Amino acid sequence: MKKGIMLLLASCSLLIASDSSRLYELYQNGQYDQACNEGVKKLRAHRDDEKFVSLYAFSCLQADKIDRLAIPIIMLKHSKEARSNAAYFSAILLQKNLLLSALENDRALTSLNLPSSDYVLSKVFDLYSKNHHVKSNNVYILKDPENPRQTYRLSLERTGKNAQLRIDE
Amino acid sequence: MLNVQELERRWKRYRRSKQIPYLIAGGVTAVVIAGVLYSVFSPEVQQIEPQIESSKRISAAEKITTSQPLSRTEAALPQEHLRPVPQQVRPPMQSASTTEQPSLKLSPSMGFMQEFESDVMNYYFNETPSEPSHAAKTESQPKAAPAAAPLAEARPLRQEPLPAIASQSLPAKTVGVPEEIVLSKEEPEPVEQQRPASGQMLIQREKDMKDIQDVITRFKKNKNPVLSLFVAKRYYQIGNYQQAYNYALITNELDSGIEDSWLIFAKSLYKLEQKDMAIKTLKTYIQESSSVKAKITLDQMEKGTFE
Repeated sequence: MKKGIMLLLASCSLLIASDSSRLYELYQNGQYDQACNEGVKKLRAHRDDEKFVSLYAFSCLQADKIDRLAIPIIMLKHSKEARSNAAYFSAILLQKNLLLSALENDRALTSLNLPSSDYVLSKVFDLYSKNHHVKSNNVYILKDPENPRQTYRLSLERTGKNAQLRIDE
Repeated sequence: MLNVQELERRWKRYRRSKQIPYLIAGGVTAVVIAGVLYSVFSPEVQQIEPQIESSKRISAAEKITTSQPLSRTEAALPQEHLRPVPQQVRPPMQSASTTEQPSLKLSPSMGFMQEFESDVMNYYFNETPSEPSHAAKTESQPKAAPAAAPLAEARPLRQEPLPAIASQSLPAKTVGVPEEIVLSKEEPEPVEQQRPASGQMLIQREKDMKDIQDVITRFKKNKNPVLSLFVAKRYYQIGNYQQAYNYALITNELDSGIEDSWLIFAKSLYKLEQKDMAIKTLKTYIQESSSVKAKITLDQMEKGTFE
């Protein structure tokens, strides 16, 4: 009986370790989309493993699946690093939703002064909220004053009733 | 002999009695004025007045005489009065919004990656010695490397498109266990299920486009259908369904036996809101090949569960 339990525990820990290593491998190989898709299925089993949750969240971020950051934002709270990452993800998710709202509902974001980051969406948000944009045929062309060569095209792409943000770098 | 003191007292009393009506009149006037002032500057009016005064620039006298509620006066005002907010009215707000304070810059904290790396290495060394390639992969990376390094190093695989085709599990996405079902069992409700597709986002990066352009250049030289299929898949991945459709068609013209070209072709049609055409294409292909992947995709499209 004892042996059976020990064996079960050992196999469980092996499975968990293999999930982590698989996610790590996918991330290292740049297969962020796959890492994000596989990670979401294992997330519940690893909900107390902040390293796994963080890696999953970064994979989804790299794959531009911003909405998937919502659950890691709630889960990452125990360590200093996890809280820092949760704040980072929260800012990006908020910026995405604000941009979507601004474009769909035609709302100005000029009075906002949110934290920034190196992620492309944050840059676009900063430029949009500081009015560094020109609108042309429902596409916002954003120019970075610090890097005039860099332009972003921000638009809403509609498929039927649904609309999604589109950023061309 | 006259009593001067007595006379003076009388004179003073007489003078006071003469002044009493004036004093009474003055007092009454003061009370009336106070009453009028109170009614004019009552708290209710005072609350409304500054708002109207600040936002609409209408004279105070006009505001006092209007007994309408604020919302009505706002509606009645011409648009030009609503727009500007004078600086002197709300100085703290203005200073907060106009002065561009440097915003806080957040950065990802990747320290956990080092721990992760050592954990994974332990796993490979201790548990799976039969996988030397993985071990070699992780071993080759310096232990003390900065945590951000893997991020930068992770990209090169994207620059090798051909192996990526083989390793990409695009059919698995459509064929495999539906993600939603697995999630609904395990997760407290994943976000993407709760949100409509409007919550999605698409970012096209310059690097992605360079990858595709490189492969297109190579394809133009040798007309290899594997390359055009790769381009079709990449375009499909980044949401450019029109181009995905075009390259799937080209691939199909070069080699009509490639299953993925049919699938990408049909999926692109579906995404371009040509559902009937997509279903028709898949049915045609299933008749010829009896492909399982195509059947599953067709089933999903017909049920409307295809994403």
